[in-house]
Amino acid sequence: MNALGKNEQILTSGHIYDPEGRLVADVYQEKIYSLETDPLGQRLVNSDTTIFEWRFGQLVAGRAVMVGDQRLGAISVGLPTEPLQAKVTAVRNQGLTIALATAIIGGLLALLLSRSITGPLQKLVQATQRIAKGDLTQEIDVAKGNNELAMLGTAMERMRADLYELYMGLGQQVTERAQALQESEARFHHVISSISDHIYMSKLTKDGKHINQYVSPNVQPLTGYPWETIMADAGFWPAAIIHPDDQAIAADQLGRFKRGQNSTTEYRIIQADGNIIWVRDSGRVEKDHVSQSITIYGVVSDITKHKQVEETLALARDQALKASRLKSQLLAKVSHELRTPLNAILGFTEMLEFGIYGPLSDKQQETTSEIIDSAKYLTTLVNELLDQAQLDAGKLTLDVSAFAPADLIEYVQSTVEVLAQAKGLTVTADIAANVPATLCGDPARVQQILVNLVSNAIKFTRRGTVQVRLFCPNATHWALQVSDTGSGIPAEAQSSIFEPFQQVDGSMTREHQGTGLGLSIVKQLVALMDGQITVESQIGKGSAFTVILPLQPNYEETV
Amino acid sequence: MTNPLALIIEDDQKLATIFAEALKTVDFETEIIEDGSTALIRVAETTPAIIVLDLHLPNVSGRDVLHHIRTNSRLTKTRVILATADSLLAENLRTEADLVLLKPISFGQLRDLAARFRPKE
Repeated sequence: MNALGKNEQILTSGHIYDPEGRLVADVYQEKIYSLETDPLGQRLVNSDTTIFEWRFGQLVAGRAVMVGDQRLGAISVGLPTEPLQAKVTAVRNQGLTIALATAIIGGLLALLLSRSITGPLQKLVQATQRIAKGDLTQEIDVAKGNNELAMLGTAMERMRADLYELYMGLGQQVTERAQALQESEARFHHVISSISDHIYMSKLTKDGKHINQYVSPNVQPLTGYPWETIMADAGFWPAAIIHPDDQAIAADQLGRFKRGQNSTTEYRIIQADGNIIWVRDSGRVEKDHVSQSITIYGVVSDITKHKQVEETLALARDQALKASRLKSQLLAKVSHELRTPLNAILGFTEMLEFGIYGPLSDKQQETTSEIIDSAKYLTTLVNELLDQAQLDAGKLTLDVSAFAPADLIEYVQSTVEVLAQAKGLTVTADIAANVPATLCGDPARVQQILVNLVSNAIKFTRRGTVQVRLFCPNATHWALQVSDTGSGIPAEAQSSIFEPFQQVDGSMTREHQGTGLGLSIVKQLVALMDGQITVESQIGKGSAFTVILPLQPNYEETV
Repeated sequence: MTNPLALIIEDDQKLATIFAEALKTVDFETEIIEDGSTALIRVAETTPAIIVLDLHLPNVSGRDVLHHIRTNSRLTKTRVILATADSLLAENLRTEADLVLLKPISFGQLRDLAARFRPKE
């Protein structure tokens, strides 16, 4: 103990206690003066374990000294705290150093790591966020190298670059398109506003709602109502805009639209200032089978002026028709009234000529003949006037029956015989072998045509012959032809001779009297029979009139 | 031997005279009737060989007279010659009459046609 305490000064204290816990020896004191029990000594003696305690700035460790079960006493030693504290400080300092070094190294490592991983990742995250926000302009510059992050970064950068290129391209396209669209719309507006018509696009939904989808600005000048009013209306028009008398027409058109039918109709609208105009509303419908809705694309045009012109024209036409009808009625009446006295003149003169009242002298015979000729001529005129009146009124109808061409020729020859003989002309007739023995048609009208043509030929021929020919030019037609050796008709007059009141020249008219209706009536009769008439003529050589008429397919049955 | 009877139903006296004279020349017994109602009576009483009928008659129209003639079984052999100035009406009655003559009717024309209609003895 002494040795420990004194020489080495390792221990700061050393105590030995007796079994009662009284201090019996102290390393640093020669003498022990106290007989009292030391509390520590007592606890040490009674303890089975080593006790450590801080006492008076030192660490005291002590325990009981036992021999078998007998407690002989206890010992304690004190260890100085300075070296311990120095040790602790050293250990702490060492720890701090290590910690500091570790922290520095860690920090450096972290920095290094953040440089190589977190930084690039952060950049990637930021880049992704930028891209998500739509900013593709900034390049993603993560890291170079061969690691995964670098590869990811490179891939992302490529992707961004591609996206950016695409975006720029799209942007360019969108810009171009938008520009084109704008130009197109401007053009459309220009066109729409340069036409006076009002154009609309309306939708009729399945549940009967009416939505105006487009209403052109022209609706304002057309109706006098503001565009907004029309656009917002729950119908085509505000109800009050359509003329009360035409509401049914407009409703009918809407009904047709609803049934999916296109419709064009005309009705009156009352403009905002009360002025009434006529419009033509023309709509084309498109049905959407999915939504069951109908879209109407329509144009509304102001046709007031057309209507006015139309009405004026209709009035003029009505008046003209009335005048024409009156003329026809007058002609019919006049010719009808003329017939009775004409019949008396003709009848009585014929009675005289026949000798009912006794024989006539030559002079009397000659005179009665003159009267009869004049009366017959007057009859022809009256008949022509009546025919023309009936043709004008569309009242002339054909009485179709079977007749023999031979009878026709015989009748015509007997009719014109006197006329031809008087001029010293010969009338020859020929029926071709290919003409059926029976024809079908209106025999009276065919006679009239032929007599007229032959009489004309005689009238305009001074010498020579008038030839009548019947033939079939083909399997479905038959023809009658009248040719003469007369004066001929100038080419320029050939087309007009069939017009009413036309004769080749005035001198002819004076010489050959007539209504001037003959050929015109002939042409109209031929047309009524679905046939056609042509003329061939040479000045000085003569003329040939040919009438081609259809062969009735059932002519044999009608015999 | 009596001549066959010809009824001339015509309200215009002059024309009636002419028609009668024409028929007389071809040996018809003629009787002139100037109105529709008398015509109906005479048609019911007699059996004429020929009736010359004007369509415009006073009292009863020629059309009705024609209808009476055509529905009378005793008069099936009677030839009816319509004499009219109205071509349109004449067209419509063409099938009911034996002959339709449009005025003016020539003396000679009527005489020749009547001769053809004269019953054979």
